[in-house]
Amino acid sequence: MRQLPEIGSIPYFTAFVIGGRWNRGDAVGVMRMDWIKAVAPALLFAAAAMPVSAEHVFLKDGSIIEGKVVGDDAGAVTVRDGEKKLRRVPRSDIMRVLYADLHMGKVFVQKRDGRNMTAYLVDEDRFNYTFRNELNSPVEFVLRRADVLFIAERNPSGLKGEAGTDRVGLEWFPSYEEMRRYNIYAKKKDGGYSLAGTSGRNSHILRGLSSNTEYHFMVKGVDAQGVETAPSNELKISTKNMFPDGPRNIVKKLEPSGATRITWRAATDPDGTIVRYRLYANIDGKRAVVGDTAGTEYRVQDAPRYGGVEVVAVDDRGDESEPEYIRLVDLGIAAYATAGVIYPLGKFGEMAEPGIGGSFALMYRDIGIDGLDAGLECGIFYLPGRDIFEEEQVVYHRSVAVPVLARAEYRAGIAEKIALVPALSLGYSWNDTTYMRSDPLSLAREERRDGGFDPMIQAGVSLEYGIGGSVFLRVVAAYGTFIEQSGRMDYVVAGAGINYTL
Amino acid sequence: MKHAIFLFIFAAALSSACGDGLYDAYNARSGSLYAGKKQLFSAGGISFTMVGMPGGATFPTGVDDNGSATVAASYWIGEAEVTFELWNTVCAWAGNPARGTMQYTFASAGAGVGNHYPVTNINWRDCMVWCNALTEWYNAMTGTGYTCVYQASGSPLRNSESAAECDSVVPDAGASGFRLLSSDEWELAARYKGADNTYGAKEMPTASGMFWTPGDYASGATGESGEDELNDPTNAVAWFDRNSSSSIKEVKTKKANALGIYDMSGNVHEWCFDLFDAMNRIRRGGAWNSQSGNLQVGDVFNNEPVTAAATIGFRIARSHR
Repeated sequence: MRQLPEIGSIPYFTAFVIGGRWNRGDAVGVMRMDWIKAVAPALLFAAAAMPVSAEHVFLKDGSIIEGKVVGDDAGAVTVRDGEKKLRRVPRSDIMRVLYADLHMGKVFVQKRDGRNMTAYLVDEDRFNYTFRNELNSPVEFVLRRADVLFIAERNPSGLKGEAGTDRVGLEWFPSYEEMRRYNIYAKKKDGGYSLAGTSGRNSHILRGLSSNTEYHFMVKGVDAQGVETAPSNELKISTKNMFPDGPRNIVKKLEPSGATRITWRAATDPDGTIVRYRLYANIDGKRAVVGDTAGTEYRVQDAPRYGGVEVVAVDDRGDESEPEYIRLVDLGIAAYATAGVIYPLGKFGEMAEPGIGGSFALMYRDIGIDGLDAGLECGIFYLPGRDIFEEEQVVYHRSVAVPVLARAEYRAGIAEKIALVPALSLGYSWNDTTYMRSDPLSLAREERRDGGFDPMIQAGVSLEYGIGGSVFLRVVAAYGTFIEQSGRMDYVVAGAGINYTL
Repeated sequence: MKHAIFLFIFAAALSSACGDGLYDAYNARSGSLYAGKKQLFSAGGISFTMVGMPGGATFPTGVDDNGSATVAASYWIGEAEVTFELWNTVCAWAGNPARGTMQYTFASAGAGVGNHYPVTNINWRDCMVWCNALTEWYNAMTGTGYTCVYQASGSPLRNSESAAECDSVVPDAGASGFRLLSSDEWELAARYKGADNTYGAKEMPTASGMFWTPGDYASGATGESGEDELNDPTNAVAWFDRNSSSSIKEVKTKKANALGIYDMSGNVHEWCFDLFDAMNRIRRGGAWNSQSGNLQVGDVFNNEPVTAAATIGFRIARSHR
């Protein structure tokens, strides 16, 4: 005799029994034993002519055979068991034959006297219920129907859930009887159930699931003796799809035909495949689809009308990625703003301490050669003065440099969204220095301020990183010099800034 | 069009001349000599300090401030009178017979109460020759290339016993070595107050912002010498008959004047190079036994160059190069 598995078995009761009346809303019910006894001769007769469906044969030694009754005669019953073997069982060994599915779990019995119990319900008739404490033991006892208020299954029920991309929140109705805990079993569509978690309450969140995947769940109660109940209803639910990544490195190029060709790097989908790309534009204040392609390029024929487009990747579930925007029509001018520190060197360093400042530039982009930009740059830098009175009879209060420069630079892409930008600037700087000096003869101190334009040249390199759209971040380092009557005044600058293409 | 704008700006930058935005500001700290700048000389375990004085200053002269003089060239002046220690060290090195033809000969050995006291009992010729010796000693000790100021027959003057050579010497104006002060250099340094117009300072030239100690004050004093015996302002800056107990004192034990120079008035008279008349050389400043009234910066004294006394010492100078 094999212990019948509880997982997957059909509930014996389809609803609770309230007030001593069976609710037979479901067609599958329990075949009354008294009725079986009454109609047994007819059934035996019929069995010879047609397959007889019998699920459980109770033997006197307490064991139960699950299978199909394929033969029945006066001396024996022939059963094809779960292993497809034919077994001929003498009638003298049979306690009863149950021509119905058996609820293999214990049931909760509430008696009218206020007491309750749990046991296996193995039979019933018009006046009594027959129970076993051990399913495979022939020891049985009987309760009168009149003494029973209701009988209920002990298994949890009403399992429902809500799926995320990597988790499912489960909730169920608790068992009638208080359970020590609930075991949650899960399986994938074609797999077998396994214990996926436990909960002390009637809810649980299962994490670490695969997205976009069908899962089956059920819950069993575990009673005070550590015995599992029959399972709850089975819940089939699919985790949600993960959105695909957006297309990257979108580049536009104006074609001789007047169309604007945009290309991008293929997007990826973590739990599926990218099936197409969709292009949106703002038309008359509304976001509308203006293009659709399975490839990674698209020709926009009416770019001025759109101004710019958003490109999204669409996965096999129809979900869209975050949009990536590209401006289709621009002025070809980039505006830079940079802030940083200036460190004076040599003679300049004798006069001033390291200072701070910033610059602003307007650059024409792609002048003749892609990546070659030129424009104007201006800035202002403040450097605290250096006190060298003891040796040189001078106290420098401050220096202010206001460069106005012509600037040329070349954007050389070294990685996606990253460019190395060497730059050369030429122009003038208004250098203004306030200081106090001492007359060498009288030692009288006097405040002075000297200012004037000095030619200057600056060379440096920037690292540019695109953060989306037309916005780039920059870190800058440069070496420069003012060409002075007294020689060169050298400095280095380092800073960071932002660049926006208009 | 945008290319043309860029090229225009580029060309303008290239064709520009050097600017002067930072030029004056930078040259303000050029390190040129200024009044009171100090320079330390160290050699052979001895050190002495000289104080800078830019040239071009015009100042009043005489006790009554009724004259004026201009020292055109910048120079350095000893912060203190020459000490016996320095004198003796140089003499020992210079008089070493091993120097052969370059051996120095001094008419006077010089005297000193102690190492840090002014050397005395030296005559004008000794002082002049010793300045040459100091120049050569310092070169030998430190590797400098200073040239001797006082020359005789194309060689440094090394014998103070030779009256003819000493008295007819013409200083080499281009030499960089140590020398005696001129009388005007001494008085300029003694009177210097810079921009300080307090205590009756005399402004010269008019409205120049340059002020000078009146001729009847001791150098660095806040009042006239000799007028008030009880509260003589000379006390703060000089040793003289009323506060010296009739003895010479260590140098730099009184308050310095505005340039940071000590004992310009009092302690010992100081030989200057100039002739007072055909026979005498100038000494200035008064001594430890002088009355307060003889410590006035406008006063000029003289003696024959052969004179050596316990009240006469000297102070060195050096042209600024």
